[in-house]
Amino acid sequence: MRRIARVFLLSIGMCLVTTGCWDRTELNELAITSATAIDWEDGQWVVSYQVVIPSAISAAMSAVGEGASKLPVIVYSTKGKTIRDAVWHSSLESPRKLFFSHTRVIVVSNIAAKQGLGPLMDVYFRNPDSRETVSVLIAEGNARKILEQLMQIQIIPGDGIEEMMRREAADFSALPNVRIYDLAMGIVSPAHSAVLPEILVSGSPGVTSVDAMNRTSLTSKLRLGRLAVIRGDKMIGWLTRNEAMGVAFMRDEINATTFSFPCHSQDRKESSAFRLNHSSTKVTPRKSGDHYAMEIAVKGEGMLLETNCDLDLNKPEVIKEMEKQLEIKVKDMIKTSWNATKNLQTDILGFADVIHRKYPKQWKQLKKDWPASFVQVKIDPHVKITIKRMGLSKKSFKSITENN
Amino acid sequence: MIQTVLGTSSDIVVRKINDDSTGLDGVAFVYIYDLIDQQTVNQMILHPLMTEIGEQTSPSSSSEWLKIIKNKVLSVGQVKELHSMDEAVNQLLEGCTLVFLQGCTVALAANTYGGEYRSIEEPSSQTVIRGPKESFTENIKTNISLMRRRIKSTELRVELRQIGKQTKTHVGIMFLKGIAKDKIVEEIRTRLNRIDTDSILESAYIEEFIQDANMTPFPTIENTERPDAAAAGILEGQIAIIVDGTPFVLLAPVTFVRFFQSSEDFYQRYDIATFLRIIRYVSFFISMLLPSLFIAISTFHQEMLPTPLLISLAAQREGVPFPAIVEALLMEITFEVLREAGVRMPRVIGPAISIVGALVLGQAAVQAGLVSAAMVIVVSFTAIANFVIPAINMAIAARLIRFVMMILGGTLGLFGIMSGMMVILIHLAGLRSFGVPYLAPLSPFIWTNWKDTFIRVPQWAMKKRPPTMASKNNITRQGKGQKPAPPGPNSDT
Repeated sequence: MRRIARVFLLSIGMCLVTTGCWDRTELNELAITSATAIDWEDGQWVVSYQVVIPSAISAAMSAVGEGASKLPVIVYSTKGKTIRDAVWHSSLESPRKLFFSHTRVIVVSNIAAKQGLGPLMDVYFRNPDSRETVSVLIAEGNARKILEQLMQIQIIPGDGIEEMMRREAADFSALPNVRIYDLAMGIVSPAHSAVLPEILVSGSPGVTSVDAMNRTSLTSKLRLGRLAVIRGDKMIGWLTRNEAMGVAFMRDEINATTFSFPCHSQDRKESSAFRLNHSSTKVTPRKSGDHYAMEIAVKGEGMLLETNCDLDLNKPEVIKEMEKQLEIKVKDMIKTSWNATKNLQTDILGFADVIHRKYPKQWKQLKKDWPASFVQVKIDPHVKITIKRMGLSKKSFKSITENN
Repeated sequence: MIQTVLGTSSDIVVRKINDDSTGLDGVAFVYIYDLIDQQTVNQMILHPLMTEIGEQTSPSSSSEWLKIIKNKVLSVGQVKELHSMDEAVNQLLEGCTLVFLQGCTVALAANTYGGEYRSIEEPSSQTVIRGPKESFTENIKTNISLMRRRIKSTELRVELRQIGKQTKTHVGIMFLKGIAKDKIVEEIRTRLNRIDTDSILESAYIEEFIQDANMTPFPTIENTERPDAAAAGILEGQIAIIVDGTPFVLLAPVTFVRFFQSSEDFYQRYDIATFLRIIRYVSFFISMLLPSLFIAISTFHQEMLPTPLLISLAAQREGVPFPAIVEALLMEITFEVLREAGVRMPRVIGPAISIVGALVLGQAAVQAGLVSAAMVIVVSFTAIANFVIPAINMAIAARLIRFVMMILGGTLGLFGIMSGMMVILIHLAGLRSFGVPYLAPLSPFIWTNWKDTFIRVPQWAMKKRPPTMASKNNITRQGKGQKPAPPGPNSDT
């Protein structure tokens, strides 16, 4: 009995010693990837990695004010027939194992996006080391140059891009912050379409060295641009930022935003600014004969940020008039976007979903040629906007100066 | 005669009086010089015998002399008649003075117990800010008196016995009859009676002979040097085992959660007591698990760390030559060495060791690139957390388990730590202390006990004694309606 127990214990011990540790990786054996870029060149995937250099970053973080004397990241690329094939080719040129769990953004070039995002999705959903919460962006031309661009204030550029995306989506809302699972949900939804924000390097030459960083105004910087439209898993076109705003209203992706508007119907000059603090959109399909009309009800409230009109804000009817102008403005934005979307023949607004839900029987007919039917859809926007606060002063400065 | 048993030790004093004038012939006193109180012997025994004896009417037989000496002359509290040599020797070794009369088969033993003892001092290992400042001493009689002064109940029972063939150490069990469970008292009696050893020098000897489980790092008997803590235990139905020669009194049975209660919990307000108690449980887990979690997460589960933390940790690890597990074991062993050195070394060298410990081993090791700064923080925090646990024997358990956990965490990651915790939990659930389940208020679940487990409710709300320890028919501590309230509107002031 004792003997058996001893053998048993010994075997457990052997199990620990011989089987443990197989996937152990020390922190200094990892190449922590903060951003990944995907390009398509000559029929092959080119995957680029922005790998952080921990020692440089922690030195930069501890010595505030001295600035980064060393580069916080390095960028390198590998090629392969498939994405993961390319990733494993990295062991030919990197001393450390690529570690994707902390990747914040993936930048896909529009060329690669035209090839299809399917392989990328598969890689991200199949492998446990990559996260589904990564933000996806599109770059026109070469995606690798986005990773090479250094950023001010934020030490790790990949981190900075993601922060920028998040801030923009929360405070301006023109471009959505699209995580890879949002993208997947869009692609597999009845509409089979999705949107992705664009990132670009504005200006030249690119800031890719420490020397270029040591200036108060950089020669170039990263910024968010247009909205890329994806149908199926392929990119098919762009929407401008103004068009994107209306799309955001229709997709109910507005958290908060700011825009200018005219004060009353006579004066078309947009001389006041409004901060929309809260907005919600409800899309209801209406069937009339063979056609569908989408009732888009937008409800929003916010505060006046600025006004240069000669108006007395103490009067409720003035506020009413302003609200009306705001509503017209939002309606216009929605209509502009609708026209642009119709031209692309892609249902990025998610109309397919609401029709599918409300008219499941008719949807079976409709889905056979949805893009064609989509173009036939009419929209009927209703906007209700409330100005909750006028700020600290009532009269505008303009009215004070002109009345004296 | 005595000398044949005890040898010719020079501290045995034999004083003979041969005074024909009183008719008393051949009285002998025997005592051991170091065990008696010299003053008592002189004033209460020698002086009356030598002077007052003449005032007595001379009886004829020596046995009558004995009666006179016993009843009229020896003015000490406790006088015993001895009939055998063994008894006489035992009494002599207890510090009695023996009185022999020529021609008489019975000897007298007068209790003249005395000698030098450490006085009652402040507790050194279980200190409190508010609360009694007395602690037990090495003298069992003092200790019993300390307890008696606290519990003036007629039900308080003390049972003394001697254990140890050579040391003949006095061991007393103390309990409140009617509150302590009879079954447990009986169990302790039988376990004590079963002990057959040559020496008992500290209560730990007793503990190891009578505890329920030996193959466990967890203590199943509590010890305290605080009379108030012992009294509180007795009032809850515990049984105190007081051992002569040590200030540490054993309390049994005991449950796991009792080791996280400090007597000060009951002397400070209940809110802070609850807060501190939670801190103690957290510290217990920190001291047991923190290094292993750090190893596991930094070598197996890097994705669990926030990115900035990961980068900062990765930066610190640049150039560290050892894997995290080796690094952690190195630092832990270094700390254990330092700690042991701190306990053993002479007090004078104290500052030197702290310089070596703090500067050389902490800072220099990081600067030399042998260990990462984060690891030093983890190890030191673990060490500090270990001191929060009020019972040192429970702290030791956490200290030992820590090393096992580190190896598990370093080989199998979080999975290993989880399995380790499971094994510990199952083990704890299986432990018993004198028949009482070790995890008592948690498993089996006893709701009334939760008032004094993770939280401490105010005194007036603790109406019942723990049913695992206190006997069933005497479970209520206090009457109803003890909650203080402001005087009502009708009461005149």
